Amino acid sequence: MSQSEVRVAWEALKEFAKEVFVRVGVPPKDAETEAEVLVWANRRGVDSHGVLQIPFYVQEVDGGYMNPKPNIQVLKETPATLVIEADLAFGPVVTTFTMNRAIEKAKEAGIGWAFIRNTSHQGSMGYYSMMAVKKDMAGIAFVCTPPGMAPYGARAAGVDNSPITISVPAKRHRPLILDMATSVAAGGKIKLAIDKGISIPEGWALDKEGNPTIDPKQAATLLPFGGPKGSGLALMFECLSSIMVGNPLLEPVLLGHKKGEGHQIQNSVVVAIDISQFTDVEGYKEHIDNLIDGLKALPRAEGFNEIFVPGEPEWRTFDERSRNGIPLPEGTVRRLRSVAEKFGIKLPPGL
Amino acid sequence: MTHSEVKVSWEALSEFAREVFVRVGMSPEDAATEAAVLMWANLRGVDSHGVLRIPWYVGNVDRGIMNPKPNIKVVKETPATLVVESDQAFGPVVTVFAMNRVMEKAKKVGIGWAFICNHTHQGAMGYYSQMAANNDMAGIVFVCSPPNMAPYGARAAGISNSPITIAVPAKRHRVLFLDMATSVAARGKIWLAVDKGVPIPEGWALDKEGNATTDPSQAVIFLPVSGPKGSGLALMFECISSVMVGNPLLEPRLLGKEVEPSSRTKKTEVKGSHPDHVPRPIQNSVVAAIDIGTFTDVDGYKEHIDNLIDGLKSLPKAEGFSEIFVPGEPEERAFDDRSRNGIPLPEGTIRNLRSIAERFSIKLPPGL
Repeated sequence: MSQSEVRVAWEALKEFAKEVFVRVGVPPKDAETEAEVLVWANRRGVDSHGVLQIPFYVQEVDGGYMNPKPNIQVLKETPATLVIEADLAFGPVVTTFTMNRAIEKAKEAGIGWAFIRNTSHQGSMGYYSMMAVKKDMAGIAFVCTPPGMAPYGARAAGVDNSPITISVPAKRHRPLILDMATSVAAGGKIKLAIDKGISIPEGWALDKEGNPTIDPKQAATLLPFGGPKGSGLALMFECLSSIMVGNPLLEPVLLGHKKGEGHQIQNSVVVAIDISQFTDVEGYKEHIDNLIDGLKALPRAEGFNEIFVPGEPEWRTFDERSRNGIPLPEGTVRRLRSVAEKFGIKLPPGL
Repeated sequence: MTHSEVKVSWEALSEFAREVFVRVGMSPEDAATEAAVLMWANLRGVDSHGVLRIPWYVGNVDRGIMNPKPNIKVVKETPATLVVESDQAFGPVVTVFAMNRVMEKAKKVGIGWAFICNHTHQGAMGYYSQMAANNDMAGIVFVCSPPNMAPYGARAAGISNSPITIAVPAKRHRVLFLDMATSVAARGKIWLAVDKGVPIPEGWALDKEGNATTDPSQAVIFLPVSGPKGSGLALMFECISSVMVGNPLLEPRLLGKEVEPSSRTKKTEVKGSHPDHVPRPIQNSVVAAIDIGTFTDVDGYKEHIDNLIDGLKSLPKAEGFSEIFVPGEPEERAFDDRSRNGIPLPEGTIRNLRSIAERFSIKLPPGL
């Protein structure tokens, strides 16, 4: 957090984001969804998936890579599954649509499992697993994108650092939200290092020649967490999502049919599991509470003053930023200003 | 591999294992399933999940922990899901049963998802995900057990190093199967270090006081792979399996409602199989199958997997690597070698199997 950082109320920021998306042609209800997902990320401190994406999205719409008025279709359906064609929809628009459908299926069949093809950037994945939690379900989502990570043993990109999120509800405690990339470090952490002008630890990334680098500006290819583990998970996600709906994203690049760089075409799997079909919901939530209490009471490792459960640090930030506003660095503010000028929209107070 | 190592044909070893399991009271069919899963592991070089477990299993039956004649029940069912009560069945018996049932469901509604409660050790998990792959489906399985791994930031066990396996079919290539623990190193690697008398790298494990150790014989608490990632995955597996069926495995230990059973770790019949590090045998798991044909053309799917494997294997190699392996590939090579040339068994394992053979008066496989 630098001195030149400005704080903006999340409500005003969301309103601004919504207005921008309306101007690029997104229907108001969809624009609201997109803005909600971006600002949710900012409130949780995941700024790499927040409003700093707005200028990029505007550009993607201009380039025809994000479709503000998609024809979202259910291509296939069984009592427990769905295949959705996103038509390059804004990720949050098609993913919230899909999670709602998966939740309906889970109510009937215990589980709802949906594949989304051809979506654009989905933002912070935890948002979607949390939608299931709000309906007393467990939520799971994972994503595949074209290569950006070296598989174990390679010095070039061949898989992607596909993230997975899993969330479940608690009672006294906040929901548990796991939201993790399959790389050692998420892309956002490398961007942050660039902004801060610091180097990145060894083992995070390779440069474009495939050599290890600690210069975040040279970091072109991410490295998988746990070697074959992160690499293997990322690969299997592609097999479970993209290829399952006949839309491979790694293969065309690997075989040289398509260039790796560029636009965020993604496939994704979105799952809801209805707790009440299998056990008592209140009992479930109490067990999660007890589990959290038990974990937090364990003896701490050296250098830790607290044991956090998944999602807990982000919930703290969420509370703080919801009250005190979202801090935006100068670079983000500058870029949002130029978007505001382009569309003649009023900036949120303080910017 | 030591000089005193003996190679045994897998068929003879499998027959021996089956016979032992029949003698402890299993039906011939269940005994064959259990033997097949052990053999699958040995053939793929995953010896920690192979026949070296036999003495431990026999001991667990003696102690009433593993039930050779379980009353396996489907306690809940929807068009896509199942809840199976195992009655402490041998893991392979109930897991094969559950995988067959979820594949039936997947054929009808695209996916089958089963929760299994209260089973005992399942052996090599890849066996079950491969069952799905061999039926043109994707298979997913993960497992939860009582605490044996420190969550990120802790110096005591609070979660388990729950493994996950995912398998999908290919056409020209072998089945692509991932089978990984959420700890930095799987248990088998620590055992191997004990056998070889070499230290383990820092960052693998803690001793029972919660101090970092490089002595594999002191390593009792696993550390999660990649800190919060392995730790988070393991925790969420408990939340979407054990807790989902009202049978938590971490919470009772964490809240001190259940004391660690210590008596059984001293039994003599498990000598040689590192009893202190043997997982506590009550587990819950999730077993899922996704029917490829419901969503896309099966042949096309397998060709895409082939192409993907080819593409990955021809990437430029990192320093120190002579080949890029896809998940499951090294194990399939071991399979080819061991299917032809037999399964190498170390002295300790042979000694333990001999005493089992004596106890039940079963003939040992030729060569042992």
